[in-house]
Amino acid sequence: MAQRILICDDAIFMRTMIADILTGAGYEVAGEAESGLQAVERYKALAPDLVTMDIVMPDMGGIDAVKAIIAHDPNAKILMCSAMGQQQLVVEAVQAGAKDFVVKPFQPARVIEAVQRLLG
Amino acid sequence: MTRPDHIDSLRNDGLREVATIGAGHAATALSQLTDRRIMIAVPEVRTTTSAEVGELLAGLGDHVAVVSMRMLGDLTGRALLAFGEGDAAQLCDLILRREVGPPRALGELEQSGLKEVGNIVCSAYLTALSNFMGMMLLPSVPSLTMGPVAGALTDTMLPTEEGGDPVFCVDTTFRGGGADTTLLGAFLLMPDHASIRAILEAMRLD
Repeated sequence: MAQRILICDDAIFMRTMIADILTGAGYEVAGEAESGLQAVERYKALAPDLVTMDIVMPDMGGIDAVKAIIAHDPNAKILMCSAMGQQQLVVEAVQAGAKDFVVKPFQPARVIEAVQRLLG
Repeated sequence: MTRPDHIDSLRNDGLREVATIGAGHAATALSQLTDRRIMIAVPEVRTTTSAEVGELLAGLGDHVAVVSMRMLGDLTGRALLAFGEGDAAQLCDLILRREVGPPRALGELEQSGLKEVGNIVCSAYLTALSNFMGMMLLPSVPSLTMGPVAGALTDTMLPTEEGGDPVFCVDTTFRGGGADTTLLGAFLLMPDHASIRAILEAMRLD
C-alpha cells in the first residue's frame, strides 16, 4: 500500500506542486492543510506516514504546528518545506522535532530524496 | 535617529551592497521557479514618496500585479514584488510549466502561484540579508492585488511613518525570459526608519 502524506502549505499552488511530485513518485496524498492549526487537526484525524510542513502560514506557523504534532505523536515524521532557509529557523524546526528541511524553490528530486530517506 | 534624508554616500553604498546580495539570491530563486535566466539591475537606494513608488510601478505597465508582504523579526518594514499584468500572466504559465500563451484571466491557482513567487523571492532576499547581518528576518503571509497602479498600490503596502513621507526604498528591477517570454518585475524593500539604523549598525556604518 502506498505511504500516505499530509501536505501543509497555505498556498494552493504549492500544495498542488508538492502533491504532483509525491503522487508521481508513487506516494498517496492523505490530505492537505492550509494553516498550522489545520495541520495539527488533520494529523490527528488522518495519522499520515509523513507530513510536509511550510513555516509561514496564517493562524499557527509551521514550527508551532510541528511542536503540537510531536506532542501528540513523538514518532511523527515531518519534513519542513519552506522558502525561509535561515540557519536559526532550520535549527528551531529541528529542535521542535522536524526530521529534515527543504528550501523552496526546490527541485522535485530533492523532495523525493528527503521523503524516501525519512520513510525508509 | 538616522533619518532617510541624511544617508550619505558611504552608507548609501553599504545599503546598496546589502540590496545587491539580497536581490542576487532573489533572482536565483526566481530563475529556479521559472526555469529562465533572470538578470538584476544594480539596486537603487532612495528616499521616495508613496506617489513616486506608484510611478515606479507604473513603469511596469498600466495594470500591475503587486504581491505585498510585511517584513518581521529583527527588522520591520514592507516588501513588494510587482509585475505588469501581462508579465504576471506569463510568469504564471512559467511556474505552472505551461506553454506561454496570450495573457488570460488569473484564477485561484494562478493567484496563489503569484503570491508564492512573492513569498519565495522575498524569503530568498531576506535569508541573504539575514546571513549577511546576523539577523532573524521573516516575511508575513503575502497578499496580492491587481489592477490599475493607483488601485493596486494601497497605503497598507507602504511603511507607516509620521506624516506619511518620505518612504525609504531599495528597489531592484528583474529582467528575464527566453525565446518565448520577456519578464520585467520590480522588488521593493522599504524598511521602517528604525530598521534603517539597525541595518547601518549591523554593517558598522552608523
